[in-house]
Amino acid sequence: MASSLASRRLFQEYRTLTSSPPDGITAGPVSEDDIFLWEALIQGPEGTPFEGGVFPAELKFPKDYPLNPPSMKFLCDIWHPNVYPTGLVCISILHAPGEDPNHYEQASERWSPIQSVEKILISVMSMLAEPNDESPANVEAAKMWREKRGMFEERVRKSVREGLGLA
Amino acid sequence: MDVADPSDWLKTTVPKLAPVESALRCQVCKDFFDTPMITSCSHTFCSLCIRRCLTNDGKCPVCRTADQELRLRRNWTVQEIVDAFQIARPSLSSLAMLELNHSSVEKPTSKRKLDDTDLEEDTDDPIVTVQRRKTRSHDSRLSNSTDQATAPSPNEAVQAVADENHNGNGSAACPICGQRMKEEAVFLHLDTHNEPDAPSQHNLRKSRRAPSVEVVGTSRTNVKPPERLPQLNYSLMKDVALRKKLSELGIPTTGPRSLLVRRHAEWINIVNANADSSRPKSKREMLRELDIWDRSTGRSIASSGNELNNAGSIMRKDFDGAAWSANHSSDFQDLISKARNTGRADSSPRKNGSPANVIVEQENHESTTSAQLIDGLPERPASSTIPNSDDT
Ligand SMILES: [Zn+2]
Ligand SMILES: [Zn+2]
Ligand SMILES: [Zn+2]
Repeated sequence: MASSLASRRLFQEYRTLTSSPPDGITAGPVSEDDIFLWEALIQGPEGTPFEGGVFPAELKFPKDYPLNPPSMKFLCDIWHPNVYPTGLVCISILHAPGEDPNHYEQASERWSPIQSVEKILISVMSMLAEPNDESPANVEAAKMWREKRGMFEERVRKSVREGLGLA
Repeated sequence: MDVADPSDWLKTTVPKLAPVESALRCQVCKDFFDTPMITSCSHTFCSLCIRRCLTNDGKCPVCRTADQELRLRRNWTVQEIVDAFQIARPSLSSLAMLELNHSSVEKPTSKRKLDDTDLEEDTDDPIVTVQRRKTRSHDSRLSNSTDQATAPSPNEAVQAVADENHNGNGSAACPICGQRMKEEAVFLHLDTHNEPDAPSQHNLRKSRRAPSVEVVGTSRTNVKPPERLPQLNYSLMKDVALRKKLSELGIPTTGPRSLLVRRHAEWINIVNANADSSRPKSKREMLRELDIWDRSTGRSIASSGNELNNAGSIMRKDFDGAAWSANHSSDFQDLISKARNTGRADSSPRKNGSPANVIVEQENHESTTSAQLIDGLPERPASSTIPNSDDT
C-alpha cells in the first residue's frame, strides 16, 4: 500500500466528486494506471454564450500535489480571454502564490493546498461566465470581448453549435 | 488507505454527519487528522502536512499567514475527538444505512446544485446542498462494470460483510487485506478494520491510531520524546557536506543537489512530525515513508530539475484521445443530448428539471436506469471506482 500523499489525496477527491458531483461538472482519472492525469467535462454556464456547450479538458497534477496546483487544458477549441490558443487555462487558482504571471492577482485567489479539483472546475465555470481581460492569455479574444462584445458572443455561440453538431 | 469519505453520509438518513466528518479531516490531505497541530493563526492540520506546507512556502494553507515550524503546537483534543469518531464510525454508519432501508423516507441523492455562492466565492465545504436529482457523471458509466442485477440493498450489504468475510469470492478486493467480496460490501467491510476489537491481521494504522486516551497520556509522561532534527541552511553547504549530512542521517545520498535538499527537508519533516505523534513510528517505518516520497516527488525532481510547478513537464505527454472518449462516452452523450435539447428549445427559459432534461432522461434509458440502481447501493467501492476503458 505504498502510496504518496498526492495519490491518496487525489483518490479521496475523486471519491468525493463521484459521490457528490457538482452540477454541470464531471471529472476523474483517465485510467487507473495514472492518478495524476484527469479529464473533466464542464457545461457552459447558463445565460452566457457558452450555454449549451460541453467542454472537455485535462488536468495534470504534479507529484507534490496539493502543495502545487495542477495545470488545466481544454481539449477543444475555446475562444476566451483567459484560455491560451493551445487550450491552457490561465486563472489565479491555478497559480501558486510564488509565481506571479499576473500582478493583479490577489494571493488569496491563488492556489493553496486547501483548494481542490472541484474548486478549480467551479472557478473555470465562473471564468467562462465572467472573463478577466487584464493580462489575458488570448489577447485577440480579450480585445474582441472588450470592444466588440456582440461579435465575441456570436463567435462563441457558433463554436458551441459546431461542437454539438447542430451547425 | 483510508477510503471512507464524508460524502458517504449524504446517502444515509443522517446527511448532517457529512460536515461533522469533514471538520475532523485535515484540509491538506483530506484524511482524518493524524497528529493534529495548531498554527499561530489557530488553524489545525496534520503535523506532517503543515510541516510540508511550511517547507514549501512558509504560510498557513488556509489563511496565508506566515508561520514557522517551531511555533506549531499539538492539538491533543482534536486527536481525541478524531480517535473517538473513528471508533464510532462503523456502528454509526451501519445504523444509518439500516435506518435508511427501513424507513420510507425518500432517499437523498447527492447531486448538488451550484448556486450563486458556489460560483462567486470559495465554497467552504464540499457539502452544501443535497438535492434530489438523478446523478449522472461518473456513476452512470461506472455502473456498467457493476453487477446491477444482484446489487444488494443496504441491509443485505451489511449482512454481506459478515458472510463474505468467510467466503472469498467476489468481484472486488479489500484494499487493506485483499480479501475478495462484492463491490458493494467493500466499504462496510473496510470499517471492520477500524473496529477496535475486530480481529484483523494487518493493523495498518492501528499502531498509530489505536484510539485510547491513555496511550496519549502515557507516551507523554513515561516515554522519552523522540529526537527532533534542526533545519539546515542549505545555501551555506557545499554538495560534499550535504551528502555527508545525509549519510550521517542514514538516508539516501544519490541524486542532484536539488533532490538532496528536498530529500533532507522531507526527512526532517517526517522525523519531527513523528516526534509530535503520540504513537511514534520506528525509524524503519519512517525510512519507508521517505522511500515512498523518493519514488514519487523525488523522482520527478531528479528528472526535471526543479520544475514541480510545471506539472506538464513531468506528466505523460500524449493524451490518449480514444481511451478518453471511450471512458467518457456516457457522460458525453448525456451532457450533449441535454445540450442539444436545450439548443432546440432555444428561447424558452430554462431551469434544472426543465422539460429538456426530462426528455433526455427518457431517451437515455440505460444511464437513467443505472443511476437509479446506483442510488440504492450503500456505497461505491473505492477499489473499483476507477473505470476501465473496456467497460464501455
Ligand atoms: Zn493532513
Ligand atoms: Zn491560518
Ligand atoms: Zn480487509
